[in-house]
Amino acid sequence: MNFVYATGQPSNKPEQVYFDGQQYQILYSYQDRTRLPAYSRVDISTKYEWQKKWGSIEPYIEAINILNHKNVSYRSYYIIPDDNGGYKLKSSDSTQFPFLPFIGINITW
Amino acid sequence: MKKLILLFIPVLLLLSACSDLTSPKRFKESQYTLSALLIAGTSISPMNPVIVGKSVDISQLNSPDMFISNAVVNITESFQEAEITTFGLVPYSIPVPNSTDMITVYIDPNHHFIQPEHKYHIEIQIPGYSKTIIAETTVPKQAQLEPDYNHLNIPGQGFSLTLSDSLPVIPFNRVNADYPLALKVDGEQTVNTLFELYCLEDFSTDLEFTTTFLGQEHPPASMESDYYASSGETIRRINFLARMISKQADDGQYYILLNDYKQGFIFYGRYMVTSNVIDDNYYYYKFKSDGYLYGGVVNGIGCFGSESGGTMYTKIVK
Repeated sequence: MNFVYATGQPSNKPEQVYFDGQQYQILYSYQDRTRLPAYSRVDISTKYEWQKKWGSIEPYIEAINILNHKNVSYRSYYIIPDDNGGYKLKSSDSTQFPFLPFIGINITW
Repeated sequence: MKKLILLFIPVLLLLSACSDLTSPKRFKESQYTLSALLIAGTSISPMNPVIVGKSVDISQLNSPDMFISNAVVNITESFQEAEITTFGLVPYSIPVPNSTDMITVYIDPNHHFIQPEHKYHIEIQIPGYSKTIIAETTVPKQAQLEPDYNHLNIPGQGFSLTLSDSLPVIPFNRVNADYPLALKVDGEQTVNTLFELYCLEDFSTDLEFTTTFLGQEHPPASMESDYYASSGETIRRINFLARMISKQADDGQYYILLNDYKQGFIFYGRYMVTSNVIDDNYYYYKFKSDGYLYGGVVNGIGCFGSESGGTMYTKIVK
């Protein structure tokens, strides 16, 4: 079992906005950064090794991020029309590995 | 002691490097903004105005303070260092896209046509702002659209220079080979180019992919909003931005040629296709991160750019 925890990466924060004739442009802060949500991930794996005369066979099963924690790697901001005829700021997160199980086998000779 | 000194040096270097992670620019205060794109062969009109504005706090997104309505805007036109004329722009009200709100922009009441290779210097004075916003752009050399580069002359097929109800069509699998995007230019030159493919069909799940996407022939309902969320742009608009070199064709003329672009037609349907040579200000504004710092505006942010080229229309079919 492997557990990783880290405080979130620093990220830009929208601070100002202006209109350039085609779309709204967001001006980001660099010094007053915010932090993305904390990173945490639990992985488990198990394996079994058979020794043979000619080498070994080692099947394994592994699962990454078994708690399916949404680890945010990047947060983007954008502006869209709202229901009142105005505009509103929205954000969306790009996340890293979801829950990801896999199996494999190592053969050595 | 020697070890301590040796340890102190890398620590000092590490700490001093940290200070460079912060940008010299910050936006705690409002920034005055200039947004203008001069198009060769047109004038500064309500369709293509100069916008003088001010950035506002992100929480004041719908603030009318974003637009300056009492600025004094003058443009000086020159060619090969010789001044030709100076003209003033006047305030004009237009609606905000997707809204009924009106904003103030600046247009040229005397309709001076923007000329290729001419330099335009803009000066903007805003009451209450001690500095003068200045910027200048040199319009790229004339770049002329060539809708039928291969001279196929097939009736009902190809590009049209005007938008109408009965557009010519291009079969999707013939786009690259038969109808490359071509701009005729003067001699061999390296230029900044911006090509844009904009699907004129409204987004819906009835649209059909030109190339099957993950086994899907039609877009899911959330595709437009998902794409907008990640790019800030509609999936129906695809841009190609690049520096390109003109090449001589069999007819002896020089062309900027984009002949591998059909993937930009994501859906079947009607398209507006623009092909332009653009100046450095607009190129860096579009290309760079925080492009508003590189758009050629002094004492403000934004872009004062120019372009030469044009727009065509077609309908992509199977």
